[in-house]
Amino acid sequence: MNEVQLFTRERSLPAIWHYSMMRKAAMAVSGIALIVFLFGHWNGNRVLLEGEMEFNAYLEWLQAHPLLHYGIWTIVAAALVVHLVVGSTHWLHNHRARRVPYRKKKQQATTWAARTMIVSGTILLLFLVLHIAQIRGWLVFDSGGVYRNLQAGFEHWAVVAVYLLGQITLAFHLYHGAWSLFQTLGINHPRYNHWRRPIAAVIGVGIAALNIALILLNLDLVRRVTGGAM
Amino acid sequence: MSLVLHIWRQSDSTAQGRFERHTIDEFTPDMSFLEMLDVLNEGLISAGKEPVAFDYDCREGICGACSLVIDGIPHGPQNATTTCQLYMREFSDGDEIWVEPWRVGAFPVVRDLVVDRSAYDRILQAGGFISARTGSAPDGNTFPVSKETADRVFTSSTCIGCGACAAACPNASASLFVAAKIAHLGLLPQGQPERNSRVHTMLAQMDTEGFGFCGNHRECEAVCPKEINIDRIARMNRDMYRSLVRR
Ligand code: FES
Repeated sequence: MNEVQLFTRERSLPAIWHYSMMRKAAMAVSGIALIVFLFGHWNGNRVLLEGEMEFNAYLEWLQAHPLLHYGIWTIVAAALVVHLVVGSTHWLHNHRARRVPYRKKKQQATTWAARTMIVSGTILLLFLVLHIAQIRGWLVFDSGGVYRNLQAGFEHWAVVAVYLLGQITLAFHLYHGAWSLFQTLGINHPRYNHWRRPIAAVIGVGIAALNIALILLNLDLVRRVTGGAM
Repeated sequence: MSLVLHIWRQSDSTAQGRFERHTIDEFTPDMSFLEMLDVLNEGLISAGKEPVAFDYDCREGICGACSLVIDGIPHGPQNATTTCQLYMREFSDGDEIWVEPWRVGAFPVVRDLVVDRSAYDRILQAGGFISARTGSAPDGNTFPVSKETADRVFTSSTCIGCGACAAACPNASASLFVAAKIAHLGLLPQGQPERNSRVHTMLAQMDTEGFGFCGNHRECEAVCPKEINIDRIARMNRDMYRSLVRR
């Protein structure tokens, strides 16, 4: 095989998957897809505050646009699968790449969020399973539809706690993930590099805060405290 | 001044290693860390014991032979400094110091603190070169290279291949080393013909050697004795994407 053939083979799709750096790229791109989805998801869920009728109308609207509905779900599901497969296989590999652990190791630069990506990822996955189970009606609090099942779930403090924990975990996961994707995708310029960390923090804390606000407003806690001003 | 050292001893690559405790006081603050180990070894030899094996060559911070994770940090606590250039004045009386070899699966321990870093050599052999005949040094400004580019090439080329980046990385990844070499060669006009294939062959070899995968922890740049920046890794990734669409 001459050099050109070798190089052509290396650029074929299955071979690309063999490069750790290309898998990292897939991780970053799927991460972006999931972040974008989360903003849209929040925007849709604001309807939850408006009441059962409005929420059901929103669901019907989604059903009436199958291309949008299933298009989004296909992208999100594919992104999740890529993220899960690369995340877990890389973690397994990295775990073995050191072989003998250090007796003493001082971290100089990394963050707690970065060191615990596999933990936060696993918690998020478990949260997602619970969340989908509640939406799909596999976990029944009230059998009168999606809206009632969600609202009845929120009457249990344990469910509320799980939702809040899920959001805090998400903030940590995105604090590293959203910064990391800049590096992986090669988005780097000396003049703007100092913005990458704040942007990641805003994305992570932003999504979590928006969702938490939604949960608390939905629980009516905030409205009661602010006397209906919000 | 007296120190307690916990030094990793391992008779060969297959043996089970362990820490050995030594108290040492016959050194001065003006000795380098390696000179302090020399003193320790002289004592061991005169007592009829095996000296501690450790790597070094130039002892002036330019060859990349010395290694050692000193008290949890590759090349010790001083920034931008190789172990051979680390002086005992950085430590205080009574300190307890743990001395370990690079712990990277792709760098197997040969003996005590010596590891086999030929994985880095094989990555270089896979593409870390320019095959065009460049002849003798060209006259200045024969090739138009901007000052900024020349500076970036220079700072990338300061990589001495010591392996501290992989040793420090929580994932034992060699990304900073590979990225520094790719930037060093790929920014110059002579490096263009092989630019696209280089990034592929070197990255493939990096994976083959069994290094971990970059997690953007930034530990590597923090310990690099030459302070090579992780923007080289971002650049390497850009080069990889570029190579997918260009020949
Ligand atoms: S011995 Fe050459 S760099 Fe330390």
